[in-house]
Amino acid sequence: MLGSFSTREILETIKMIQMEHLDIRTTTMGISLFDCISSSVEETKTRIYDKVMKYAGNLVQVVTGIEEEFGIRAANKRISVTPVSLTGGVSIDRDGFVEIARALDKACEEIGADFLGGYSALVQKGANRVETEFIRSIPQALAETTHICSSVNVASTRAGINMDAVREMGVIVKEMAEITKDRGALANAKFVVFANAVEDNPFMAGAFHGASEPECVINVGVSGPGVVNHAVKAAGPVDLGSLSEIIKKTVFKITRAGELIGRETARRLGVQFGILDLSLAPTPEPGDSIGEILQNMGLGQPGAPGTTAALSLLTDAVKKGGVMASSYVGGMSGAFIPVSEDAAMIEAVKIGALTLEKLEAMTAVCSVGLDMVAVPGDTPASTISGLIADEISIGVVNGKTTAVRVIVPPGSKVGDVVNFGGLLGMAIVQDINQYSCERFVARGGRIPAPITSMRN
Amino acid sequence: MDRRDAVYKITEIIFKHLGDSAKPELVKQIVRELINTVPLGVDGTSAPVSPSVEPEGQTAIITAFGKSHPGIVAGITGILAEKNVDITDITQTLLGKNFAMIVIVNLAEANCSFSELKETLTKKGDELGVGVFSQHEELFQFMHKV
Repeated sequence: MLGSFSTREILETIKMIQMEHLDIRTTTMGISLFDCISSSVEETKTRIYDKVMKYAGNLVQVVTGIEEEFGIRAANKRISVTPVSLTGGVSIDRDGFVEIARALDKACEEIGADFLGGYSALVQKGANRVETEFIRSIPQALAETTHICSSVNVASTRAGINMDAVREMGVIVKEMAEITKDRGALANAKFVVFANAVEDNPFMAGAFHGASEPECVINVGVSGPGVVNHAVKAAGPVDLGSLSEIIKKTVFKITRAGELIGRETARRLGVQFGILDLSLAPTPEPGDSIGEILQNMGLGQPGAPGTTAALSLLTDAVKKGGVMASSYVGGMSGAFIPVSEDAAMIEAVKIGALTLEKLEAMTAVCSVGLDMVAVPGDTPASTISGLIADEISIGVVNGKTTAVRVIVPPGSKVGDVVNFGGLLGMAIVQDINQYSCERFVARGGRIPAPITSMRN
Repeated sequence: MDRRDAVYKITEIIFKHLGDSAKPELVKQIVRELINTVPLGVDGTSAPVSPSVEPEGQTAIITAFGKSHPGIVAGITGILAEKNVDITDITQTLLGKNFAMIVIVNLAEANCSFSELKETLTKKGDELGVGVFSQHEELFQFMHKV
């Protein structure tokens, strides 16, 4: 024993950090922009810029200091803001919103944060005039900025599915792909369509600072697929109940690290600690992969029969292990399966083991949805809307968050590779069902809330 | 030389002379015997060794890990002495051909900042061909204690 620790405990922590990629995936500062609303775009954007700079000005410096002291990497420093569609005021139009996006981008750049999320709208039941203008500004805003991430919530379990918005999403996904085609349709990677979006999600591209959130808050997303992967591998051929126990214990430790960093960051910045998001988020680094965990659980490839069951065990164990380790759990909390960001998933798509349909099934039991999947450039907007509608239905009926982040590189064919580099990784264009859903999507209107929403 | 420096020097010399046979328990025992029987420190009085109570946030854990060879312990503890960092516990272990040393330190009277200490130790580790990781104790506390 060393003090109150055993040698094993100390070396285990060192091994997790040095060899198994344990890190704090994101430290995200949420900032309310409600008091920035004014009667002119000029005034609003100045206030927004000033406010973001005031609160997040030393975010990077503080988090870097904490990394240094605790010896654990805080991979991303991010900012989320009140959905920008709510901050426009009466006189704003499409161009006005793009100007606000530029001001936010400038602040984010100067702060040195990686991304700023919240160029968002919540239109699950319908969009007002300003929100309609806002949604149409999204492609241009994403094309003209570097750090801005955008999301639109088109459905919820309580409101049903706004199919007019879903139809519009297909159109703007294609539009933003077209205007950023010189960058591999990069804008698609920064845009998410949600059902049951959460207001305190620290992960991008879907982070925004919800209307019910406080003035300023620190939310933390921990990660650790690498650590879980090693634990599963080391466990050998144990039964699935025992495997679940091993994952729980491992995730408990990962979560504690996140809790400590989150609390300390909030304390040093003098703001409230919000939540800890327990999601396992992969990176393209070898070993830091959800797909590899599935393989070590006993699947030949992600996508093989048994994949959905294995993923549901993993997601459940992550939640159970993490929930006692943190005082406030929130955000997505589960397992992410962004295909382009996960080396083993990319490989599975490449060899045809993992299809779009299987991915959709997997999203019924994990925390997000069809994330970072690429489909051919000639896919019609209505088919994209159909894909979104399917995924969103899973979330609405099951009372959970689901999302679609789809890349439609113009001119691309099945099997083409789109390389974004860095955290966004490499997407392989996947086959999508060729039969039309145009007439279904064109109906528009609102799909009523499911019977499961009546819980009062 | 004050008492703390004397303890460092003694520990360093014992480790150097014992080489591979320097088991932490043995070194601890020799140091303890020495400082309990021989008058030490500037005022020439001896004092019994008692576990110190560290103020919060002052404890750090330094881990050196790499291929085993003589001089690792001396190299690391030498820097700690130079920076006036108090060692509260120390252990070493062999994992296959790899050597792991863990030192628990109290930074209360250190004559430099934590980041400077960390940098110096990392540099020394590079010279010695081992990885040296310096972290505040809270991380371990949070991860391993409920």
